[in-house]
Amino acid sequence: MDRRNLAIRLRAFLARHLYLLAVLSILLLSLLALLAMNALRQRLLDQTQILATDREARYHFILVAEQTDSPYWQEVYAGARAAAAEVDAVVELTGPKSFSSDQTAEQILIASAARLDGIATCVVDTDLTTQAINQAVKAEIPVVTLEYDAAESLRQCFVGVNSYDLGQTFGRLVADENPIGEIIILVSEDPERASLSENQIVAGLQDYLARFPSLTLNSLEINRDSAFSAEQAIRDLLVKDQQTVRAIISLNVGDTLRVVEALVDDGRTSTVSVLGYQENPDVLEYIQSGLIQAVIASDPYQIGYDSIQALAEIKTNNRTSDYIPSDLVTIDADNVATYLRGDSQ
Amino acid sequence: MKAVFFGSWIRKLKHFVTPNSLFKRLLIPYLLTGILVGASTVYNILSINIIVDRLNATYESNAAIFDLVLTLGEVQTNTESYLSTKSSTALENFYRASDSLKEKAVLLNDQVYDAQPLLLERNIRRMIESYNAETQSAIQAKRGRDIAAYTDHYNKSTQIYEYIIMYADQLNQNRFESNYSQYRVMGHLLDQIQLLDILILALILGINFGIVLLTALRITKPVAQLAQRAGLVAEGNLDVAPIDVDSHDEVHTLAKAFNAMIISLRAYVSQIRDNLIRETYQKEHELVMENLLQVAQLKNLQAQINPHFLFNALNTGAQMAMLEGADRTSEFVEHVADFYRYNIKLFDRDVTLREEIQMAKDYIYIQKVRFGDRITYNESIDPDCLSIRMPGLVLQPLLENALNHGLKDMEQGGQVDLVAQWKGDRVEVLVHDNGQGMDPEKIRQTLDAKFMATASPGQLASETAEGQPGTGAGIALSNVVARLRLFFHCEDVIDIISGPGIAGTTIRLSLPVLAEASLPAPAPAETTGEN
Repeated sequence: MDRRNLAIRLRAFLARHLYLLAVLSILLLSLLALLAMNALRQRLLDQTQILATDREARYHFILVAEQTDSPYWQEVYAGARAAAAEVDAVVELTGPKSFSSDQTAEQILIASAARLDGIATCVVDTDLTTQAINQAVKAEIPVVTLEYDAAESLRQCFVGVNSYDLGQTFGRLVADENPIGEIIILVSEDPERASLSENQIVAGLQDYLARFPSLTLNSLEINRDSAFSAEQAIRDLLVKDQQTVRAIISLNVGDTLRVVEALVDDGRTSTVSVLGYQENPDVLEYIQSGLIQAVIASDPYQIGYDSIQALAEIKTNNRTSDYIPSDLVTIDADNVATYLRGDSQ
Repeated sequence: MKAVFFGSWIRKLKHFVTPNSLFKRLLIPYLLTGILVGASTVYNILSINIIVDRLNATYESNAAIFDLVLTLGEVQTNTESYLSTKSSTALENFYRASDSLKEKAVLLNDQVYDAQPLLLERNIRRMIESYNAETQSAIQAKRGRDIAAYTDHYNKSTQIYEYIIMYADQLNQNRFESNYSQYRVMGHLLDQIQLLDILILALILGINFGIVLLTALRITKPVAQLAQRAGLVAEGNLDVAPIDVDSHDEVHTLAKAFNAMIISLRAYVSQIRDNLIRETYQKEHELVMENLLQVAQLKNLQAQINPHFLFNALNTGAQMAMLEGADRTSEFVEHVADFYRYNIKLFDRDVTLREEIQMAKDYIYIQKVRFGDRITYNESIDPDCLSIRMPGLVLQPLLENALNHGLKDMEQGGQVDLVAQWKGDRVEVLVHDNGQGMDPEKIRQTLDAKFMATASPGQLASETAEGQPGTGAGIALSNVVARLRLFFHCEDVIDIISGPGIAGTTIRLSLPVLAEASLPAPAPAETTGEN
């Protein structure tokens, strides 16, 4: 009874105010529509917006990368950007998309021609880069080298790993548990063109291994002129080897992967340990599957961050420390999971 | 204060939106739809315009970069030209191009924003500044003939030139890429906006259609009702239920007016009916009054022949004649006395045919004594019809008429016949004489029923008092006609048959048998008979 009453009253209400309701619903609908359209429009404007912020920064720095779109350098750039945001600066990422030594130096020259506020650069070809760095510093543009140093140049600061320490760490990894057998380290044929201070790494390694007489260390020199020569050298080594090689140390990611592939093809993954420097997703996967014993990695984010902080310090205080060491981390089967997760982020 | 203002504003809006007229009802949906669709379209166009403007700006800056590179080429060529030839034209051209380059470079961004294209612009601008400095130095050194210096500056400027070209290319490519990605994003979003727009349009149109439909129904339904009821009213049926229209527009007003019209129509019709009844009643009343008057007149007429004294005197005379032994005189005087007694007796009531005939006999006796054998009297009376009731003093005036007018100029052989007999459900009484007859005009006048109603009793009295026998007898006959008609409420109660080719005159009475209740002569309700 009450329900019927209610229904009747509702119907009466509807009949009386249907028109008003319709008009109101049109108004409401159009309001919603306009809001939706405004949201869409805003999205359109945001998407086509050139500026992320309309605030002008104080400094214009440039980060010259060895290879701009590699994950490693992107990570360096991320750290650099974070630091730039803190010191009221803008950092521009530049450099070749793929590996090219003379372009890196050229970028330094361009940056000095454009009279930027600071340059953070990698060092690919030590001679060319040193020249370019010197020209920039003469033009009163502060320069910070990162990852690999151009020690002879006028650069104000170097941010990166200590190569001797790196060698020592490799020594610990190969010798501490099983100090027997032949250790091979892959180095560049022409140390002048090497990006790492390979001599220092080898020195650190030798100094560490000197305590273990039953270990022998041999270096395999690789010609860097060709992209394929490394693989050839590694396969040759494995063919000539009398089953004495117990561990192979590689100083770059490419070599590390090639060594693993060669060992897999040869079926010797169980007898030969692989140690590498730096990581990428493939390397991490191999660590997880046990094909690589461990890699030592610098923290690219921290390097990028520290380099920009150093530049800002030079700009404000006119000086900074000559060397900012970068932490080394060892990634092995125990902790690889955290890196895999972190990488996928 | 503000709230009050707001409230009044809402009331105004509500008043405006409330559809209290068809005009508004039709206007508001269209107005609303139009405004909304228009607004969304305008908004859409404005949004697109902003994007297009932005894209245009990018393309324009691309063109500017291209122009800048051309100017840069000019500077480079002229520097080279001057350095190699030291021609003044080249120097002039160098300065012109160099100035132009500076002007154009100033248009480039010089601010440190976190955006790749802007940073590229800034780099280009600053490299152009370096380039200009180097070329100027080279020109200066050339003037100073310092070959080593100008070569160095020239080399540096050339290097910077190449860098600028490279960066300009990079900027263009960067712009192209960002334009392309923007174009794709924009296209996608514009598609979405358009879809939304179409959706809104469809929805608004749908709701609008609903409103229009609703409005149409709300307008036409009451109008159709109105039309149907108006049709009923046109057919004469005023008993239509009032229309209930709950809208507040013109149709509502119309319906209200219609309802009011029905009510006043009903009132009007019932007023007319009342008037009619009242008029009819008045007419009846008048008729009764007239009747009463006629009765009075009748009584007055009867009273004209006041016979009391004569009756008494005649009785005395009859006694004297008997005492003196004059039997015939006594008989005669007795008849005369009877005749007058009858007159007295008749005064206020109707009589039977028997009594009338008796009186007629008395009258004939008197007249026979007077006229002797000049007249013959025959009667043929059906005894069954003698008890019928009729007004008094009817037969005597008829006989008088027959004797006085019918047989007036006849010396011998006059004959008067009296017949009373049943004829159907009526009693027919014929008074016939074989005299000269009556002319039709006279008959018409005599039978004119209006006679008694129009002639006043005074007139009648004076006419009879004047002692003009002709006129008096005519009036007496007319009086009989009127009385008979009033008494029986019918026209054909009396007829006069006479005229050329017919011997004498026959007055025929055709008396209906009256019910007992209707007998008292002044009965106003009894008007149902033929008139």
